[in-house]
Amino acid sequence: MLDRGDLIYRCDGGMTGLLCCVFESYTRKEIPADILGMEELTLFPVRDILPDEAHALRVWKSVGKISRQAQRWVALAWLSCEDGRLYAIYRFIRLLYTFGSKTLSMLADDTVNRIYRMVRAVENEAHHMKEFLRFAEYEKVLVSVISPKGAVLPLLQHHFTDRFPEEAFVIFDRTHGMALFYRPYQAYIQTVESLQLPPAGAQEQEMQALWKRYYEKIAIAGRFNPKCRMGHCPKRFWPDMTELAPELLKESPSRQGLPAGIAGTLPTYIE
Amino acid sequence: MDMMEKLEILSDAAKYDAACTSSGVDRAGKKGGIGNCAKGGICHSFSADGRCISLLKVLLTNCCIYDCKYCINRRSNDTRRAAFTPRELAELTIQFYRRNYIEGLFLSSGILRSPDDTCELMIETLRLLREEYRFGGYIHVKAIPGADDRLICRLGLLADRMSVNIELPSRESLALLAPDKHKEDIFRPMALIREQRGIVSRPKGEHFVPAGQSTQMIIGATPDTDLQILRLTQGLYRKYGLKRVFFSAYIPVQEDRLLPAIDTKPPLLREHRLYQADWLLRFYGFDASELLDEQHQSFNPLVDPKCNWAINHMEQFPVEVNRAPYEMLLRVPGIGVKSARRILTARRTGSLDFAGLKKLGVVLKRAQYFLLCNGKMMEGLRVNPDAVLRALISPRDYELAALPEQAPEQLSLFTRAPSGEDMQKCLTGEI
Repeated sequence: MLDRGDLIYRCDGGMTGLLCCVFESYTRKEIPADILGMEELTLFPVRDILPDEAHALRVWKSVGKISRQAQRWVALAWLSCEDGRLYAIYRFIRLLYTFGSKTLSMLADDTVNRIYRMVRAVENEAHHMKEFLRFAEYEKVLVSVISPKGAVLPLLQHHFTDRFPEEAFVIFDRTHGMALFYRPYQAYIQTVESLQLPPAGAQEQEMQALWKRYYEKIAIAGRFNPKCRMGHCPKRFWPDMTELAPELLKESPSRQGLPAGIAGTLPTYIE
Repeated sequence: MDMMEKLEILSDAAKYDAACTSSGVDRAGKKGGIGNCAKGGICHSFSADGRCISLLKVLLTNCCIYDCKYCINRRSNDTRRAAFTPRELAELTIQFYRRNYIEGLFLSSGILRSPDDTCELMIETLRLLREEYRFGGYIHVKAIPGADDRLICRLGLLADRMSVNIELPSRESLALLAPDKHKEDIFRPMALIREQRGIVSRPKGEHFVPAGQSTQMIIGATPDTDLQILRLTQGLYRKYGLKRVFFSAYIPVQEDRLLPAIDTKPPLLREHRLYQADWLLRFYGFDASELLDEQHQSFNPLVDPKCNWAINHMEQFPVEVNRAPYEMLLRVPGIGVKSARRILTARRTGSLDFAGLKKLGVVLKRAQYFLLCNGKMMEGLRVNPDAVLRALISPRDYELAALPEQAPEQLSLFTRAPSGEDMQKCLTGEI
């Protein structure tokens, strides 16, 4: 293997592209110094890797053969959308090929630790969404708008479809421009730019008012502790929470932040 | 009376119940129904006092025939009274649940007419939820002391968790402040629940209180010591197989010569220490007698119970990270259940050093004094009792402990816990 300290791989940033980088690196017997997205500029010589489903699948299966858990870690780390995740995952897969499944327990290794942290971060974020996500009813459809750090929709799908089998609902992730749609009994995730919402009905407004009043009443004045609250429920979640948002959602939510194209290849890789 | 007013009165009256957990049962959703349960429980919001809101915590009614001194719903108190009908409450629960506001219902009640009558109303509410709405979410229900055993059994088949509040940590305190309640009234339903949970031969799909039972006691309304409370707690876990014991710092809600003055601050630090000790009993393999004894009946306000134990047992340290058993790792300040598990995993593939420990989430600031990595202490570490103690005191606890009315004024170089900057100045000779 030739360690090319000056060569940079570029791929489309999707899971397929990333797995193809691993494939190319092994067929060309070279180790790139970094992996970037297609649009990113660099002064180093680059090799642009085009996505190829067959190559990606071979790599994906080889990882699964080593350990199912490793496969899960790779998918979750990718979902975390953290900077530098592409290269970190590449290094992690290399370690897997070298050390096998025991790589997963090398928690003090920098690369493994990085992946482990990403996995935890994205799982925690998904859990926060299960906690703090709020639905509002619009003409019998429950609609929720969230702004998570990672692309957590695939991790929410089972939880909410299992919980509300008879409801129709939409969860719109405005950070990543994708939405989970469900009606009995099918669900799918799709790229969405914005949602048009009608004004909330009378019953919806009443429920929101009841919930807000309940939220105020349940706090004990003698134990007031805003720091503790912020520790458990950081302020970045507040705008999407009925009881903590400054105002009801007035404008229609639309995508903000990260570029689109995250959804694409995903559902085939995670169940 | 409209819904808003009812909800206001009945949630206001229920808020002093500490428990709001939805853990202990894993249940998948069912087609045609609504709701599932997650083993670890899910918090849905946090109120301004920092406590988790997981369940819709309300009373069915705040009318009560009893006259417990510490309780705002006591008969002799002049307060607004209200009651939900079972239908109203079931509908509200479902509407909140659909919007992902809550994990389920926490239902308690004042005693209307008789314990049996109240219990039947609660059963009707739960039956509506489970059978008509086919609700599969979490339900925590208070057992009504004094209700018929058969009613408690029916209630238990509909709920996930049941609790009987001990209220006060000793028989004497109970006699003083809750003259209508007797120790037997509390322990009898507890024993009944334990017994019913033990029955294995039930029809398929029938579970009695699958998430177990819990209880709560009020801290600081009576002169019971930490030692008494902790012993009682341990006894409850062992004897009645309780899942949780909750502590609730007493907040004065009314004037009574038997109660602390109305301007008394709730003993939050004491409550915090009890919870820390409770965790040590449940997850860290400690025994109550290791944490407190006849000579030390109260917790040290400055350091948490685990650190306190470690400082007094320095002969057992330092421990070798790469060889120490899990039980011993758990006893090191700065290592918790998660980091101890990670250490076990990581050392299977190679030996660990201090940098590695940091990556695993060990709090080295505390742990460094108690650990060896491959036979070596952390480089550059000087161990003297002062430095150890300073590292173990958390600034927050220091502030809580040093409330002016509790702590006598003491001459000190620092007005508050010495900060990193102070320490640096001290080392460089600026102070």
